[in-house]
Amino acid sequence: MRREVQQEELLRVPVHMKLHYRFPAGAHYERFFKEMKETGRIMGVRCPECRRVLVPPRPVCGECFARTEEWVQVGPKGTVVAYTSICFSFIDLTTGKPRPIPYGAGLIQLDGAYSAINHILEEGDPGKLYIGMRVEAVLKEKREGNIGDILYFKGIEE
Amino acid sequence: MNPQVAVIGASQTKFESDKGYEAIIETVFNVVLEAMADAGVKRDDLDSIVTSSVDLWDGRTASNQMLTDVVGAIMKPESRVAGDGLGAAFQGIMTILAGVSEITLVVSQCRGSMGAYYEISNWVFDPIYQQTLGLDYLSAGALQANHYMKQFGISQKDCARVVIKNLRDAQNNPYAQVAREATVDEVMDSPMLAYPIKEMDVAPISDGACAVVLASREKAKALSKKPIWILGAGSCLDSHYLGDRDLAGGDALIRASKKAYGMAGISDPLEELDVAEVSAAFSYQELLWTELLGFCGRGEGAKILQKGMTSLGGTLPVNPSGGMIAGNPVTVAGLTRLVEAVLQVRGEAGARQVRGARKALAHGTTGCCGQGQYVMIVGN
Ligand SMILES: [Zn+2]
Repeated sequence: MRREVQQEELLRVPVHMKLHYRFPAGAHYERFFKEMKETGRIMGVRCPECRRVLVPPRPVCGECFARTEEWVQVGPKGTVVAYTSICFSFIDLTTGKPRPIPYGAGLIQLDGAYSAINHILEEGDPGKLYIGMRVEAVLKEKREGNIGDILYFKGIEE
Repeated sequence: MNPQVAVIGASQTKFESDKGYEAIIETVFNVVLEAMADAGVKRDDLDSIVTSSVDLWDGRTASNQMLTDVVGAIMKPESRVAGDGLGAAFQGIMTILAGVSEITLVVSQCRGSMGAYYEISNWVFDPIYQQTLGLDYLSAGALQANHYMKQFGISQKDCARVVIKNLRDAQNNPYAQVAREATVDEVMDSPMLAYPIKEMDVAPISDGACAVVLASREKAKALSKKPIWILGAGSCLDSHYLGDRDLAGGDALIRASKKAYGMAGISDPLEELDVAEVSAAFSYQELLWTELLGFCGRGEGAKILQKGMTSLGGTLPVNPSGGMIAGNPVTVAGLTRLVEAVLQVRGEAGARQVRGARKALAHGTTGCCGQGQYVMIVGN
């Protein structure tokens, strides 16, 4: 049984943890962002063993334990393989502002890619989103070389 | 008793102040491939994986998850030690002794360049009583240094000679980050950070990784031409609160080493060991640890160093690699000591080779001022 506490409030010590990191992206991510910034092309890498195209590109295919070096263009069209509608806001680290709610979030398999990428969906109404929905990447005009260069994916008619 | 676990593969990266030119996963993949090639095993041969890394250094929650692909852990069991890499090697040994694994890969990685040393080591301490007082690994180390030095009459110049030996010997180690000839005056003249610890008494902060492949007795015999056996292992924790400990006493290391020596049948470590790699983040710690490991009497660490007994060519070379003073990838340090010990008993340590080395000691610590202690004896 819980002991009755006489005091109004027990001491709680506030702890603030603030740290800064500079996360080394590595050559694969650097090329991915450079290509998107300069040419607007979304790139993946093909595994030399299983031949799957990994997006975002990474130096190793974990399943085959093999280095990936062959670059291929994917998208910008793709298919929604999972989606949700987010009703709580978060501070967008790239803008420092809360993202307006609700917004759609999904996993998008870009045409030509094996793996799907996480991104924002323009459509935020869960009634209008569906698995298998065709979408296309909408890129920023002034791209900066980060994942926010893709603004969102918008639904398309085909 | 016949040793049941062997190291059949070992690899380390060069330790550098900033490996920002490649992603962590690239560093780890390279070191893992090297260790596996050294062992002659493929990914399918790995039964389990044990990693060592610390979230606060990695800037990610459960940061071992980013390594899954590059340590070959997809569809395999992986567990992580959030601390020193030699602790991960202990876990790896246990996976084999428990009979759940015949071949276990042990990997440790840290990017010292990414995080903030002061904050991360400050957050080790109790937020209610200690953190706000500014306690960190350096200031705590200074308390231990002073306590030890006052009790046994060790001078700052005695500690400076550790730095000189290690930086000099590191010139033989291609993986070292810092290596050069230095003088006692240079160490004495380097800026005072926390009395009596000066800038040159402190290990640098490094980026790097290590990987070791462990195998059961049967697998080691079948696969390896040069298995290096784990002859003894001991680990022990002291209390967390500095004020509860005898800082110069080091009971945990005495117990951990006695356990390891007992298993390995060693009664006189100075005579029976051929080389020791110890994890000393500060110069005074190398003296303190060599005493607690029983290489000499209490207070005699500086004396055996000055006599050259712990130098390359001496009775028992300590840290011929240069130790942590030559490169300190924080939580990787202990596994680096094991890799060095393995290279020594294989006779593959290049210019830092201790001639005819057959038995080597690897030492690791975790927590503040050596709260946790790991000792491993390897031999062929
Ligand atoms: Zn593959």
